[in-house]
Amino acid sequence: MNEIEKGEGIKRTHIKNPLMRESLMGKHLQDQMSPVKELALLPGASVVGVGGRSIMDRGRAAVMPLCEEIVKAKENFNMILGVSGGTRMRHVFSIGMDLGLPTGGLAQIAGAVEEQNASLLQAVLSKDGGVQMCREHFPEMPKYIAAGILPIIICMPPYHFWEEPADKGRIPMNGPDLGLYLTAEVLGVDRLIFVKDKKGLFTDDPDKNPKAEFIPEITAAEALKMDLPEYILERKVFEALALARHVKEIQVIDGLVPSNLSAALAGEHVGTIIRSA
Amino acid sequence: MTETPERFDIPSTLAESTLSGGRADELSEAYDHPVHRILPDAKIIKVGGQSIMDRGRAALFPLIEEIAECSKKYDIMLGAGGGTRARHAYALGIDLGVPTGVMARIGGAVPRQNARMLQMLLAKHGGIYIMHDDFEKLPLYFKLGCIPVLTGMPPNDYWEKPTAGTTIPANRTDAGVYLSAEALGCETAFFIKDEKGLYTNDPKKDKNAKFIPKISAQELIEKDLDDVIIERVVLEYLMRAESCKQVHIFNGLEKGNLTRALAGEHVGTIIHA
Repeated sequence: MNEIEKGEGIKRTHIKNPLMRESLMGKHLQDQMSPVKELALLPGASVVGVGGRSIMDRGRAAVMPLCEEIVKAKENFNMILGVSGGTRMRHVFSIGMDLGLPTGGLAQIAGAVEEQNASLLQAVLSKDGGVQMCREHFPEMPKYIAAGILPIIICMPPYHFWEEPADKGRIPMNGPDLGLYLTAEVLGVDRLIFVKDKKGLFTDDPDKNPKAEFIPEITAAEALKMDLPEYILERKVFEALALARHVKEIQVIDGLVPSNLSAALAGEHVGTIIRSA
Repeated sequence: MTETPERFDIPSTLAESTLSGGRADELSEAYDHPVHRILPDAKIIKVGGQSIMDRGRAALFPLIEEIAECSKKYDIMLGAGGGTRARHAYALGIDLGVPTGVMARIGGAVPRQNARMLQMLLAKHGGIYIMHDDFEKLPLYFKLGCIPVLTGMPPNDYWEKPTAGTTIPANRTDAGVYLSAEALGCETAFFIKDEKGLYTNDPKKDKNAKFIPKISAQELIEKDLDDVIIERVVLEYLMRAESCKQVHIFNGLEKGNLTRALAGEHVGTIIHA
């Protein structure tokens, strides 16, 4: 794959390879250029998302017991922690939408709130090996894991101004849940667990609708088809999960219930399991 | 069961929302102010990788002169494409089986090289190389008469979404340049390529391919063509756009096309929302 095909004058210079001269938009590539087998970069690890509004915003009463459990679980599991925004993110979106900021502008301001929460969580977990990790250090993840460190990352994907326009309104469709899903998927980890303050996915937000029914298990496509008034995860997560190579199952759990996280890390079904298919 | 600990809440219209689902859509749509256009007069122009950069001086030098001339009249930001080295890296990545996010990361390096080369050629006319983090400094650069050059690749990196089938990232340099224009509130994004515009198939491979001067994104998606001149995700974004409701693709090997396109003339293919 190393020969250069020199273009004389205004002709293009190519490197010989299977994609030479392709526009990369050709339909034939969609199947032809799929890897035989996709590498898992960090098998054996688990990604755990700590909710912003559901956990962090509740302060020590919720955060401290969860952190104790995380530290305990660390003895048996290699974890990467992600943390999302919560009420301050909702506040800044409200202001930004009142100002008429475009979707990309809203995505640009969302991350700062997660940075705050990551700093808070790192401070709490510092003595037990919690390290706040910025995106630039992502390829060093194996080193952190091997050293017994608990990497703490923000969840929001780094699309910033380059966030796609939304289907409806201006709130970025690709939010923290999708970002954490993509983190887990690109690393090819064993498990992805979203720690929230509800048992899992309901047919509506149980805080607003007492008739909301709990859904213990569902596929991504089924969940989207239900077109619910509220989902506990972004809809983009369900779309991404349907195309999973590695992370074909995620679990949403109530992190206010002691030992739920340890049980979920061990593969027990304690919340809602959402499957790729 | 013990009592659920209270939240430290800030009241806002979204405070009680999961931000996901029909109710969140309604809350979001209730803000119906017109979109704030950040820099609507800027001209966001992509310089193709395989189509322009890989042709070297014969293609680039005349184009550089034209860009420099146009920059006296317009605030221009360039986005660089990848080209043959990106294709080589993608082919290797597929062979090794790296995931889509890693492909997006390695795909990002080539347009950065091209952006740096464009900067060197444009330096004496005010060309500066910028990174995604410099985007908020664009007003300063324009005020100084600079021509910022950015990689066309969006900053998605490891967080590029996998698609069905191939691991070649769906969002590449066309998407990045288009989304720059949409974020800034520009009406048109410009794409300099080596063909007149969109054809019914790749005209380099199919001599019977017919030229399409103007088409809507919806119609183009429905045509379900085997090959198109712009990344397919851009068509989806166009349909949802608030500001950048058209892309203008034209042949940058023909002198004068850029000048005419920036003046609002229709010289290539316009794909609109």
